[in-house]
Amino acid sequence: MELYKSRILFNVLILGFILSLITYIASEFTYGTPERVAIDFGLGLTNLSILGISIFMGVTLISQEIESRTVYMILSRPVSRFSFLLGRILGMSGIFLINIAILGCLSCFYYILLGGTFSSLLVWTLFFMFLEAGIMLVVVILLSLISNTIITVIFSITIYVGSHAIAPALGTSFVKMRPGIGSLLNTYAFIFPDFSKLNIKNFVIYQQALDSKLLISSLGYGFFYFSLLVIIASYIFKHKNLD
Amino acid sequence: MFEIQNISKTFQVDFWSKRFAALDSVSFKVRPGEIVGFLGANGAGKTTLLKIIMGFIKSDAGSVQFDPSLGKNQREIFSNLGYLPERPYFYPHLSGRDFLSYMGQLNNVVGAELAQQINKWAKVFSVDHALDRKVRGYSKGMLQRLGFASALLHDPKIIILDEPLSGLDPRGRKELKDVLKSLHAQGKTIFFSSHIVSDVEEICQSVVVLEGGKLLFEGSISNIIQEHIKPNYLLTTDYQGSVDLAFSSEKLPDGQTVMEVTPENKEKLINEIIKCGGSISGLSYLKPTLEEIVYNIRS
Repeated sequence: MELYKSRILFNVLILGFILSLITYIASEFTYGTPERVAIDFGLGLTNLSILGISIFMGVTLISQEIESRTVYMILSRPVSRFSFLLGRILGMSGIFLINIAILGCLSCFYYILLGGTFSSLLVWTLFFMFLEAGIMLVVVILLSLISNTIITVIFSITIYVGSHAIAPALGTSFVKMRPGIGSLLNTYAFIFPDFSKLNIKNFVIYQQALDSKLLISSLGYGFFYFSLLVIIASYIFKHKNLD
Repeated sequence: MFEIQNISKTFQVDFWSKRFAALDSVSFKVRPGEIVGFLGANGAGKTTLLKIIMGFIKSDAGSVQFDPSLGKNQREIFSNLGYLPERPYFYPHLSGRDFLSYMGQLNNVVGAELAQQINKWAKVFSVDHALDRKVRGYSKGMLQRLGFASALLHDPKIIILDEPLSGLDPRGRKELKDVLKSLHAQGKTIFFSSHIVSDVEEICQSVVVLEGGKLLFEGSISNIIQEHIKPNYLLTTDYQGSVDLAFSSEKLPDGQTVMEVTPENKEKLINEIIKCGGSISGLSYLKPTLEEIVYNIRS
């Protein structure tokens, strides 16, 4: 239903067309490594599109149901609040999956077409993108349950940027020389999601190998964080007054 | 079927303002098979209490106890409960049929049974002709009918309705009242809120009256009428003089006078009019309406 409402397929097709066009232009103007440009751009666009969906559709996913009171029609039936919340999250995850499947496959197709070699890391990258979008979605839902739309969007974007910047920031000599800032950033990384753990795009682009243990631990981290957020969000939603 | 025990609820508009009591120790009982009207002016706290009954908001104090026959937990209880909120809201991109189908599935009504129930209730509520149209194109009355149909798809034992007759034209109101009567005849327990006293008087056996968040009256309509107002008589006469025994009098355009008199003074008044040369052209029993009684109780 959410898929139908959002007309997401239409948007994905437009993005797919843009991806094809830019990949073609890039391959014409890039000397030496057109496949890297193609996969870099393709994965970037895929990531950006599902991030946009998770933030801008996620912010109204539950709050709009409460404001428009459609939630009364559902929760007056034998449906628990947890099931309702989980259903909405799974519905949106379906949208992410379709988005990733279409744009991701298109990116891989152009990558291989332009001379790149298929690697299992490509699948991992796409899966981690999916996981990251899922985490962001629950972050947005959680914030929307305790705040208004504008603050939720601002905070969500801030958390997303911060969560990607935390690992590179910790690696800078500026932070290394200042243990106070370092521990502050580590505290941030402990509380907020650390998306650098799920970002393996560069390994694909530069065709580097990645230890499977690292992949498994990142996967575990992603699932754990996602589940934790779902539990917190469902607790808040369970105790929220729907008036 | 369910019992409300000392429910209190306060609200605070903003951080600086004082909390105000929307409900103050409200208690009453709805028995199986009853059709109960829930009366109160706008802002009396009816919708707040219904939201508490449905678990949408939490009360500050008190509890709602459902009959064990409805189920042990909320899931089981809600399987046997049909609810229509005030101004029901829908997904506008769905057709009426899709919406009813979705609601039915949430109540575990599926397959041929669901299709049969949709067709049955759509016909009863006269929305069968519009079932394949998008809900966004429905009028207010049609939305109300669709919402009502969705509350009955799973054949609930208890039906809770918040202002079900609002937004309907006179014909629609009559049709819906007939449906309520027929559901009651089938043994369903019905609890519905309204601020229109005559609707409640027409179809309900019992009434719960709320005013300013406090329970004003709970019980059968016949009891409330007997308890609160002594029935008076209306006496029509051609006598033009003033009579102290009349409770009130009003001159009619045809020259006659209608006097309201208490049962105790009825005989004396008739005798006095006849003694003064007047004649009695009519005497009728004045049965007060529930509306008059509710206004009297409030004042």
